[in-house]
Amino acid sequence: MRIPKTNSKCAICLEDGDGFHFGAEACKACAAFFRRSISQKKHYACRGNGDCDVTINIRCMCRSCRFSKCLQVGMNPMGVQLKKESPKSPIPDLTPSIPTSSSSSSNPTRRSLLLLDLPESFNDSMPLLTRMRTNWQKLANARLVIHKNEGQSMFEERVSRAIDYKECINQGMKDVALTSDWISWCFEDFVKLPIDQKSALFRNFYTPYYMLEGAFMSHLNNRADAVFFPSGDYIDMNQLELFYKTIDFKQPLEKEQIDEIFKPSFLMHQRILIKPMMAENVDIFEYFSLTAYLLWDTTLEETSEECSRTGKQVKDQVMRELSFYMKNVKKIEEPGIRIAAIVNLLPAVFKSARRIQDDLEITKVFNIYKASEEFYDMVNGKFC
Amino acid sequence: MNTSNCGVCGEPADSVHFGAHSCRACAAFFRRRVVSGKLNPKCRCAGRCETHNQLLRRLCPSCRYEKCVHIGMKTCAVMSRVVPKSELETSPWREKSLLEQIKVAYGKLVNARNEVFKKKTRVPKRANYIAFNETVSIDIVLMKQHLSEFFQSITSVTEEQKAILGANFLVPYALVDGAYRSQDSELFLMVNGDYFDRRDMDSFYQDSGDNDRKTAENLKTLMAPYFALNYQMLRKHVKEVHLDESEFLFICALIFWDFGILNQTEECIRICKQMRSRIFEEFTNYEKLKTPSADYSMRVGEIVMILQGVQKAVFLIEESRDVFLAYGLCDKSNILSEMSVAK
Repeated sequence: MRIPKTNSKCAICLEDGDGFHFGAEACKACAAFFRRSISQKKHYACRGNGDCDVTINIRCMCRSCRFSKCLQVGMNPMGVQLKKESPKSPIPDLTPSIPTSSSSSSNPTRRSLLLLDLPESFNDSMPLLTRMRTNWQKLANARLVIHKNEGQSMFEERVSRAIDYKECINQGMKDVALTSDWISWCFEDFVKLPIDQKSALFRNFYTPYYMLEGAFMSHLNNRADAVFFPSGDYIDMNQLELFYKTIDFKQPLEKEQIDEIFKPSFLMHQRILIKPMMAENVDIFEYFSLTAYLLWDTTLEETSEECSRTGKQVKDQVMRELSFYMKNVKKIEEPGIRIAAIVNLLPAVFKSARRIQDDLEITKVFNIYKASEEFYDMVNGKFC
Repeated sequence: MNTSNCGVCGEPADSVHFGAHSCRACAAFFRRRVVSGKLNPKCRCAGRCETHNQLLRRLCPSCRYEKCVHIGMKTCAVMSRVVPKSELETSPWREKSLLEQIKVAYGKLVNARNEVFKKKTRVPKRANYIAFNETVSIDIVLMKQHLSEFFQSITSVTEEQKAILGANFLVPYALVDGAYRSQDSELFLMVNGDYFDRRDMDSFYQDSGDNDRKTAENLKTLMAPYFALNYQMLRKHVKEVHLDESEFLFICALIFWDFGILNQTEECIRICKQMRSRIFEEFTNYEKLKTPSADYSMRVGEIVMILQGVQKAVFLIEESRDVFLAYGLCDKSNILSEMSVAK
């Protein structure tokens, strides 16, 4: 008698299952059939009525109905393409390369929980999110090089420190290119867009994404009172005078005055983004989902019909993968509730981004200090 | 979804039992099962037996129990002892769902609007910006009275915090209310039944009286783009998603119980989070029952994403108000003047 491999059954032919393939529980045979059908771009036609039975012994009889059933139970063609591209690359361990701050060393479990790796069998059921994960490692490595401290060797581990305004702008300008690279690596559909569409989406995306990433970093480092940058450096909300010290103010300001002017914005960011992310304990795949929703904004003036359609497709794909992830990896009975809570963070991202833009506007109008035109444009999405 | 029928067998439901609409028989069945703790014999078929009438429900107790759980009956609501009446009155499972309560309040708002705007006898006509502003100012009072007050009454925070939540609620609510009402039309449908076309700003910014023609011209030049943007960012999205009344009310609830408002206390943030969690739960169950097929969580996500558009539309209003003030254009009180919440 055949000893069943796992507890699952193939959703298509009801044979003993082999776990998840392309988003549905399937046996190896049906998974292989689906993969062949997609990669060889097969088209089938049913000779009957389109309702042939598909079970173990007769699954080979009607390929059309077998394929329809694959789609019906949730198999996703997207997973097939990816598998061809990178057959054996294991997902590297992300933890050492992510910039750390001293206080996070006491929370190793938190970081590893957030930066978890998926078992390989899930890769083709979550192609997009997996891809974002792999590329995030690449991004982290690139950042190490770009943001290395003066005189420091590339291989020396970077120490995070509280930076000042000028360095912050400096890093921000360098990081734009890296972020746009990461987006291009993750989304094939983005690369295929005409250049004006790409610019439109990215312009609208950058500042909100910057806030999202910063908040996520604060959450990773378990520091609600610090804003973190891609380089790993940070602003300590309780020591804002360190950040603002290199600014050429019209009049020199005391710490109390600095706090009075600038602290409210930081507190708002903490209140509406950092703390809620910590309360929900957002993990990395949920963070990637939010990133995708921010990028593929279909409500912009300048986006074409085509771009909107693509955007909707990508967002649907992400939602599907997120749903799968919640059910099968996080083992949440009712993923809808958590998905709603996660998506509910998006308006807060915009509020935070808007606040930064307004603040910058105010400093310009009231001539509190001078920011470079480049930086000003970048924050307001007037670049590229 | 007809909520006055038992979710298990389809018989008329007399009320909510253990958290779901059901008839007395199925409720009793559920209670017996939970109290006895015995496991019924497993389903002899594939686990999807039909239970939708009085006779069939008895055939497979296993599937009947599954159905009970599926429609939302909670085992924790079944008591294994007799409870004094005073405790019964306040038990959570006795309470109507949030959605039901919100629906009642919204129903009152709709009635009030019908009365005030005499919608039954009124003939819809195209409106200009002056009529629009007037209508909105009246509607704001009604909204405050029937909807804001209701939300405030069921939120256990201080009066001060209630006021903050109420103030934060008005503009986003008005925006999504208009979008929802107009979702089947290319025109913008006003609350009094009149309408305007965002593509015809000339007609909208026309003065009926002998007011300064210039004012209308200036207003049009400044404000017309915002109507187009509002459509792009919010109305279009709402149209595509196409909300039903319950989904619309869920969104309104999420707007009210917002987090991160200026001067909101930690306590208030906590209470709002609690209320939002309840809403998410009811919302998910609602969508699950509405479309029992797999991807109801996609619809939940899709709808919550509308809040993104609402936020952007709110920014537009703020911006247009700034433009107003900058150009010294202070006309009669309109929705913009409600933005008294300082940044």
